[in-house]
Amino acid sequence: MDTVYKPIAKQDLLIRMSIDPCWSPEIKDGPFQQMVKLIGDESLLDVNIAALHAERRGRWLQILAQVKPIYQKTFLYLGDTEEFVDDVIFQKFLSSNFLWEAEYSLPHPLGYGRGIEKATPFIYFLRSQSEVLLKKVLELAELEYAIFKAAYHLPSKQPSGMEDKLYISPAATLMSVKNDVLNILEGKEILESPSDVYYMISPTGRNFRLTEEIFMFLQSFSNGREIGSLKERERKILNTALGLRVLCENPSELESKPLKHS
Amino acid sequence: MEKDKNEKELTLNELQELVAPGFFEADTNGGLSDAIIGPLLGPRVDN
Repeated sequence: MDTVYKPIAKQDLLIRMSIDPCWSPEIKDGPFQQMVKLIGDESLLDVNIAALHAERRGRWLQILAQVKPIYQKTFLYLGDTEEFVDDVIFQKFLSSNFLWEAEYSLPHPLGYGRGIEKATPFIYFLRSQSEVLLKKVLELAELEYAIFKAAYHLPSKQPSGMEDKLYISPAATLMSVKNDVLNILEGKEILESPSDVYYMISPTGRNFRLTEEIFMFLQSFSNGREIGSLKERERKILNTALGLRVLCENPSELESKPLKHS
Repeated sequence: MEKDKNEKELTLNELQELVAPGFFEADTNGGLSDAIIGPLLGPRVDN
């Protein structure tokens, strides 16, 4: 079925043209040409294609240069920059909605809004490619993304108390994996595990393997949970999770503060 | 009252160092380095 386009601003069209390979102006009846017809400004077709291709490649490398340091170990499996920039996977990423829709991005901590960091669109995209990527590569990417997310926002200075409902902090990640990919970040080889392995990535920069029991207990706070009466052991677990800022009272604490202009 | 608050704060800070049994800390040298995360953030404001 043909895509039905809605008119977009010329500025948006030119940005899209200068990154998205599917929006290249020379593609006959492609998205760019259809949009130009829709906008009714044929002068937009007057493009120096060779110069555009050079400029566009530079932008691809800029995006890759932002993503690659965050997924350093994952890229050991995805390939070198020079190869990967032309790889079908990266080319699909450049055209994916995950890159182009700001909702697939964390709010900038200083209030510049969403759409600045590219690590979040990239993990959404990799998840959509699960049929062509090895499970261990995806799990490694998830781990590296969790570490990025934990670092993107500073943890609150004070931990939450136990008086109110508690949630998993949006900056923290609890995850279970089939391959113990945390080994790679520890400089070891992946150890095959007969059962799931559980991780807790905390906003304090400290990361842990967990027992299944603790993982399940902390996971029960995903949608918020009143504390109620606790056994001594549960209290110790909660104290640890609160101290490491993995649990919090305010699940929207990642929302950025509005910028103040003087 | 003020004394109680200070005592509570001290205890909670200490808890960040101590972890309950069942938490096994990974040797990952912390999170992302400032060299990587810094350019994405610009100047940070401590909250």
